[in-house]
Amino acid sequence: MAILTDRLDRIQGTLDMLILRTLRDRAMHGWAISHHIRASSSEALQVNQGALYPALHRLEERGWLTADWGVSENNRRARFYALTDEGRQQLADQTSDWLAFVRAVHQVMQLTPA
Amino acid sequence: MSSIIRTLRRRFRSLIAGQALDRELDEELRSHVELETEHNIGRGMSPDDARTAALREFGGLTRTREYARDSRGVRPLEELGRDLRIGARSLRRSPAFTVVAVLTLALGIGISTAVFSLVDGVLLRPLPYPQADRLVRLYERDNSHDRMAVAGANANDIVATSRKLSAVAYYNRWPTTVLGGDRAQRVPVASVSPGFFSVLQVGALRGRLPAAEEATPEGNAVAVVSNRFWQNSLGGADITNLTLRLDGAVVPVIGVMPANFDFPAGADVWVPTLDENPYRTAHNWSMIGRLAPGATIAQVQAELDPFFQRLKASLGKDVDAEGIAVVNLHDDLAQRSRSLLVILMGAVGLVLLVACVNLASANLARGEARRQELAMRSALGAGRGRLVRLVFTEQLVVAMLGGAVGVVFAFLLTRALLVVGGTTVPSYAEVGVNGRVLLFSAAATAVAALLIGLAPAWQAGGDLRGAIAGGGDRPTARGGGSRRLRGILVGTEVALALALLVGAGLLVKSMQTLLAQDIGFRSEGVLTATVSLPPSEYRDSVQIMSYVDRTLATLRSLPGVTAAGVISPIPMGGGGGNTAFAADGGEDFMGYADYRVVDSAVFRVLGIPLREGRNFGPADNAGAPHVALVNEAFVKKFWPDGKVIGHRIRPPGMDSHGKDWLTIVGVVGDVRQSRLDAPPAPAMYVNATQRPENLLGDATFVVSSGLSLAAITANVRDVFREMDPNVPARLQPLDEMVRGSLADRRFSTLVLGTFAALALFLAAVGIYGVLAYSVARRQKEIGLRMALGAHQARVRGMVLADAMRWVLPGIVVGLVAAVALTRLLRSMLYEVSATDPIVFIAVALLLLFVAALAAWIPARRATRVSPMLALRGD
Repeated sequence: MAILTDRLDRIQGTLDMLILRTLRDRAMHGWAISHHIRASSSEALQVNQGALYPALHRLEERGWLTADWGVSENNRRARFYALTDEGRQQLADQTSDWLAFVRAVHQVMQLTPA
Repeated sequence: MSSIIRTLRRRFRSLIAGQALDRELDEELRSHVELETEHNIGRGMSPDDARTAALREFGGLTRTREYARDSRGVRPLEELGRDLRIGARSLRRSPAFTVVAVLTLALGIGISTAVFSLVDGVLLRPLPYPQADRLVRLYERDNSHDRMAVAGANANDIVATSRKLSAVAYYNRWPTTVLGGDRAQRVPVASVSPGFFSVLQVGALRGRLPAAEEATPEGNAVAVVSNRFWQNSLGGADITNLTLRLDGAVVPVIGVMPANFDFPAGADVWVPTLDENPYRTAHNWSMIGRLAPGATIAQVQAELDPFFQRLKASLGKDVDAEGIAVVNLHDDLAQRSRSLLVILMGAVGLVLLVACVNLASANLARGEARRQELAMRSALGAGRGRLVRLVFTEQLVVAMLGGAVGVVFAFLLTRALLVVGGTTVPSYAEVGVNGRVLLFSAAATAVAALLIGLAPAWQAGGDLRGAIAGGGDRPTARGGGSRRLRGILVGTEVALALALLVGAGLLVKSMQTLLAQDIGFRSEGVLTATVSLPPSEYRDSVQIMSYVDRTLATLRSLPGVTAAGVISPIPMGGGGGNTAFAADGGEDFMGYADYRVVDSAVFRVLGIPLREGRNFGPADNAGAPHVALVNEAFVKKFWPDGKVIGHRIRPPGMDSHGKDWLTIVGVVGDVRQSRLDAPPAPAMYVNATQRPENLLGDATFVVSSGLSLAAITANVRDVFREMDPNVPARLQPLDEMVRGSLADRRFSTLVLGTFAALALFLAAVGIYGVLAYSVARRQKEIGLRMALGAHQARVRGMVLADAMRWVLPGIVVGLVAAVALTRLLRSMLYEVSATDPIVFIAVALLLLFVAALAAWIPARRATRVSPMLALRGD
């Protein structure tokens, strides 16, 4: 079952975290980010562009991402986003928060640890 | 703190760089779609499908763009600017519509603003005196008259006794011959009692005001002049040694009033006076006062009413006033214009409303054609609120342009109204486009924007489903709704225009009735020459009559002159003298009648018929018993049995013959004495040979001629110049004087008629526009009908019937509204009922005709198109 990002986003900041994680290893443009999220979740998470770009711009505003025009694999002009140091720190913080959150929910739901 | 500054800076930058950022965002999103498209192609889709899929997956470029921009946080401000830009762009795309819309509104807003500037100047702006709202006007009143002039003796008592008035004074104003300027002139001279200037709290611009002890019964100790008179006639000379000759006395000029001081209206010279006339029935004075601090009009009334009751109780019939009427001075001065202005304001409101309705219905039609565009915008992510705003902003742009052009119109129109208005606009009013007037036009613009923008905005907020697929122009359930709305708007327009036209029609009919009115005397081909003889040179009856006789003889000897006479005051010349009189040796007053001094030739010059008895003759000389002629109205009122000849009457205080009895020797035809629209009142004519004194202040020579007036005017002027160079005559054709008495009516008829014609024109354009549009939309249906064999006439009938479905109810509603509204006009009508059936029917037919004409053109066009062409075209 596919989860659209506007549902996903109900858990505050989830999309932001996914974006930060996707950009951890290399700069990507918007389309690649959305594809990466979709592919790495086995098509379970589908990022609505209407949510993706606002999120990208928001993160850029906050100084967690930088953006630069570059050329894509197929020679298209595209805007590439990369993590800043601050963004990297955020990713670490959010990841540990998220893990703590997931563990807590698991415990409450009395599920076996993931 | 620093984070706030950072945010502000960012916002500021993104506002300035907004467009650049927008372009960047566009490009980024486009690149996303292209990447997706390529990806899809890679998966084996056809290029077209790939792109469609990419777009679908993208879920509305526009929406995303707006969300993204939202996160930059300057949306409301930026969006307004952008809406205005989009609105302006959309208007540029249909320049014809825009120009017509802006001009229509400009017309509506322009005339409303111009009329409001009159309302502002006449009614709203305070009089130009300190604490002008404390100024009051005082009148004597009795059972039947509530606004009588005040007798000097009463006025002096009021000045002496009133405590609720901090200052109070009386004044009157007469045209008087003034010498000492660059030429002898008849100018309005105001005699004012000592308190006059302290009531108004106005000081002299140069020199000083009269002191209390300079007020004399003769009123010739000192004079103050208007700035206008000082500049124009005295050459702006130093006033220290300046004198005027007034009524023969040499009067030093002691002061010059400020340029904007104009009270009483038109006065050029003020002289301090003190009335010592003991008669308490000599109603000669206007009276003004200033309320004492804390005092109210009611208190003044309560203070002075008992005073008159005591007077009446002790003096009996030597007093005719029974109390006092106190009114606000501004209200009093504005009284004549108020109802006219209110009616005109209502009329322009209706015209503006018609203009707005016109545009609203045009917008509805356009809106339907624009559904496709709106649906597209909606599909691209514009929310409903956004669409409504978009459409509304466009109308705001139209309204603002209309308002701006309207203000320019208003500047010109205000001038035109003042020129056309003439004396209908009181002279105290400073009329112009000022801050308050501009505020009014801004408000009118806002209301207009609401009126013309609401319907299309409501339409834009509606259901746009199917609009893209259907080409936006397909009738839908909703389309039917707005067709109905347009129909209602057409009906409204018809109703409004009809109500206005009925009003104008009633005024025009009144005017016609008046112009066709028998005034009782001949005014064509009669030249009048009015003089004021200075009493210092013409000291007694003999000297006056010598001047009159010599002048008449010379006038009669002029080539082309058939007759010449003298009368004081001339009918419809603005002057009048009304007097109480006793009859047949009695002491009690029988009633009131006009008192006019004439020579026997006047009746022939003016064509006033002798109905009974005889005219004055040579035997009626100064030594003979005094005789009088009366008019038919006099007989009807006082001797209804018709046997009036031989009766004796005595008016007590018109001249030095107050004790002498006049024997009635003849009856002459009625004439309209004061105005064309006032019925003849009882009048008595006394013989100039026996009672010439009243010819002193104001005598009008009337000359009839077989030649054109232009041919004799120069000669007549010369006669007066030779007779006495110090007595200038004012020459005016009598019919001009008569027409002048209709100036107010002419103004209201002209202006209201113009407004009604405008409304009719706008309504016709509106009906035409709506029908033309609806016919264009039904072209296919009409083509089909005709292909199936419908006759042209039938199709035209159908289109016409479609129009009449809304026009007819509009006419009915308009007639009902007119019945309600024309009641307000009643005071301005003359011998025409406010529900005059002829006017109502004629106007209804006129509107029906114009509406049919407006519908006929599109109907004809509809049947002109070849059916096949109509069917094919989509």
